[in-house]
Amino acid sequence: MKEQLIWDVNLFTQGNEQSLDLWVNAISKLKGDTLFIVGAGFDPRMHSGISYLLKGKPSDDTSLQCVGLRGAAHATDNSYGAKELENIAETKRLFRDRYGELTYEPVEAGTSMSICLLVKKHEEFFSKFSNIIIDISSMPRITFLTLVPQVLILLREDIHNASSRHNLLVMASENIQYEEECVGNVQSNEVAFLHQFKGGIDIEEADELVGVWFPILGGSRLEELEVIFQKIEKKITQGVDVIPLLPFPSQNPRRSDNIISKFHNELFQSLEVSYGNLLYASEDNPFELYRRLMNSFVRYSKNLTNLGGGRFFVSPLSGKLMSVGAILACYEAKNRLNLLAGIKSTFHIGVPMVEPREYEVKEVQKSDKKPEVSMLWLLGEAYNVS
Amino acid sequence: MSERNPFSKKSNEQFSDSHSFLDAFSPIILDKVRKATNDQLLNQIIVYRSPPGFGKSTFLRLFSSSVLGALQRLKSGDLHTNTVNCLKDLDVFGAAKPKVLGVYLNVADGYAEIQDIFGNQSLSIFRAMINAKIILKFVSSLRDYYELSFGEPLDDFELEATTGIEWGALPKSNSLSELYKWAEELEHKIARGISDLELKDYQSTNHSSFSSIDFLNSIKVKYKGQQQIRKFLLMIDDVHRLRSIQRMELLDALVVLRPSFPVWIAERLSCLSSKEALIEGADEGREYRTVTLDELFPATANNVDFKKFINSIVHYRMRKTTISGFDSWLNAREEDFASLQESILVEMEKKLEEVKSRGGYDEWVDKLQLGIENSNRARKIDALQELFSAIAKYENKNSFPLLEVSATDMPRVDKSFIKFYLHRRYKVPYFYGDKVLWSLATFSVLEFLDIAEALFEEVYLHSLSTRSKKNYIGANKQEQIIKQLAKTKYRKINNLIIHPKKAILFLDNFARVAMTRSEKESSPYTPSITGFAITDADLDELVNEPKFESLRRILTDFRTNNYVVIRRQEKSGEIVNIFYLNRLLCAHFDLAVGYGGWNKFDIQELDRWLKVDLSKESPDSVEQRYRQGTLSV
Repeated sequence: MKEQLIWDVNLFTQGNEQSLDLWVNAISKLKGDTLFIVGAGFDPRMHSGISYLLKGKPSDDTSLQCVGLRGAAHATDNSYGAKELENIAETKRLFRDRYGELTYEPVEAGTSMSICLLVKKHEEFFSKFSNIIIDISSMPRITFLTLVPQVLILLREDIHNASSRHNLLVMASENIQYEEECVGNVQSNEVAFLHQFKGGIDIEEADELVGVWFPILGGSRLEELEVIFQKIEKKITQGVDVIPLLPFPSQNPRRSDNIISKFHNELFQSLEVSYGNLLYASEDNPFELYRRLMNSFVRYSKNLTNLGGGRFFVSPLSGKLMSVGAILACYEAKNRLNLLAGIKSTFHIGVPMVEPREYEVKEVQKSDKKPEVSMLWLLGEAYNVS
Repeated sequence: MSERNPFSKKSNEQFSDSHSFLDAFSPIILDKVRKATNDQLLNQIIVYRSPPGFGKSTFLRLFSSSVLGALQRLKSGDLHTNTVNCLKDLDVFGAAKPKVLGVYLNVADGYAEIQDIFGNQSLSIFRAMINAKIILKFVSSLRDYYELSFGEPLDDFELEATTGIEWGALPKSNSLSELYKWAEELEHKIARGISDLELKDYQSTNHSSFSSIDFLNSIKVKYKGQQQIRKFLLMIDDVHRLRSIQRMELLDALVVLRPSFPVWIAERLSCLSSKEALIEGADEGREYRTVTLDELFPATANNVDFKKFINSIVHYRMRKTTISGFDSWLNAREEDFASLQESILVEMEKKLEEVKSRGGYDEWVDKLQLGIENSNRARKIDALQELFSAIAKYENKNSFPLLEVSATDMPRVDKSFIKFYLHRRYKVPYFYGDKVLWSLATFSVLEFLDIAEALFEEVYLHSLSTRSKKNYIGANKQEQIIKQLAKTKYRKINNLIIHPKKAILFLDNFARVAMTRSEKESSPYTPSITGFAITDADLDELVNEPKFESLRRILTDFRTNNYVVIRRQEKSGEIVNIFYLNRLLCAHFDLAVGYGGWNKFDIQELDRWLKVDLSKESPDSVEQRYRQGTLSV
């Protein structure tokens, strides 16, 4: 079993300039049709990143299409319906009406499963595009963390590497402060696992396995941390090791210190985290976070093989792009760890999330904290090099 | 091992072994449930219901094979004698091992989505999943019962099936390991199907009945040739997490199957319709007994039963820490109030002089002065306030007396009201002392633990401080902690209650009405209004009329999340349904914590509270509006 990681690369652009460069010189020149998948809703980032790439002008290129995903979670205030209509109108303008929508039906099992069902239902539609760009900017966390691995499952021909006839990119217009200032989640107390990553909660024998939880900290979500841990603890009878992952290096060098200070009680007293268990990964490089997590998974799985396996839980509570890094690690670990470990042990990967019931849109401040476009290339031509 | 904060563990799963679980278990709840079921606990289908945090899962765990086994092994005179005795009465224990084998199945995860994925096949796959899981849990309970480790061979078990056994989808086998293997494969097959959103093999997952329940109905288990288990107890937890069609399928099947062994279902109120959640006994007539855990304790002024229950939990948990005397830490000392009391007394003395100079109440004043001659400041303040409130009450009903009023005409003023009034009028701390542990918990173990945890944290910090000479927590500090918890509870409305903005407006409006009517010196409410009541007719309208949909859904969410508790009461020949506010919310609104004070409103008025903001109206106009047509207690 080779231990080379699938994404042992840094194929990503950071910031407007680099992303535009990648778009102009590479992505826009790829053969075949290109589909942008965006989150349809009140968030102006539904079109702002694409608009930047297209320089604000409507595209006459008929190979470009856009599909808006519309979800069950909605803005708390009906007046935001007008914002949504504005955003859709602007997206239609950019694509000259080559814009359509797919609605994931609200199922009681939650958004994650609903999205999986949607992708499955429209497999043919998605597969016909040579290039898919998932713009996660305006998508709720649970939406894109389900969508990205589900589209990977759909498009990847070889589970051991990222070469493919299809190109898959993830883009995000992101600024953590902007995110915190402009969109507030109105959360329920219910913790749901991503459909593809249930961590063995539905398998009886998994009850006997040891658990390790990797909360990826970066946002200001203490309540989330508490309820997720309670949920994990409920499911694990053999004890849980907690390995928090903190952003360092970061644009603000004190960011991880600030997070530790904010969560000090929770981390070191309630969760009994030992200082030696803290992990750090660069705030700006989702692939580094992916590698850091994968290395931890592999290291732990080697130790746990003799105990019959283990359960790894990952909670991406950080920025959107970093969360994509985390979900890539979960995706790969789910496919690889059991192969690596052999038949004597079983590993389960779980991604517990607190699903928002509604979103609260705050008035966008007139500040200079504008989101910057970044892109991750996950699959396709960039990897088709032997 | 000593624990930093013995109240930090909030769910039974956090107690990993049976002994630590038992160390935190209070047998009072067992006693209460026994009484509620007329001691038929182990003879029928029982549905346990409550909002989250009332100890349903904890109660079920007591009957798990590992906990019953641990209790059986305990020697007499042990700490858990009450629990053991209570279980002995239920004939749970045998000579060497328990007679009862508890089989615990939690259906919170992995079941509901079956309904969303598999369309027409859903129910048969759901039944297959339940069948597989019951067998797996049955085997797991047997391992616990006989203290076998996971993976140990099952060859020493022998299954004896009765002649009329219906195997259904189960393999016709007397071998436990064969049965286990079958269940494990079936479980994996369904889990994979859920993950892939399609099943490769519908044949083996197409179950037309809950055969595993039939199976338990028709077998005896022998281990190494001996039969020790006389009764199975199937406990299915978190049933509210099933889809309603699955839940009904399961409940209906249980009623039809009529298993010869007891089956317990535990679920939150959230799975009930508004009618079932809001109207007591709305689903009576079904062939199972329901036990609503949040209604086990009566809402009385003193809350004696619940206080006893909470005190027993405090007692058990405090043994886990090296700090002793939690109640003593919470009892504030007289000197803490000295300066405040002095200033209050100055003001009251002035007022007393005015009363004396006006005349009319000399007998009352004389009686008072005689009673407080050698009293401390606190007692003096209470007595003076009693006098002033009595005068206010008297003058509220009569005009100012021209002649001396006799001491026998002095209206009674409740002590609990005096405490509340002094808090409102002079800012005397009110939410402190060990009473807050039970009086603010609204019958919920979880809410009690939240309060105790926060207060104990302060105790812990104080105990570490070498500089602090105080071996108690000041009343102001305690009140500050309570207010913080209350604020959190209030804010959680955003997460838990539908239409949160309307729900908050509703509560704010109610609190405003309650406070306007309660904080007057002559208030008749004891100690304050903390509930709104509606008649049966209005309750019917509430659950049936489409125009009240928002109100219905909000009140249902309040009920299912313990933001209100509902008690029925007869007053002047009329039955009313009183919606008492959660006690932490009372603390948030600065209302009193005792039960008993409520006002009746009509349903239209409650609906209006979702739309208007009473804070924009003056207290006088609010009082004017509610003066007529309301029934007060």
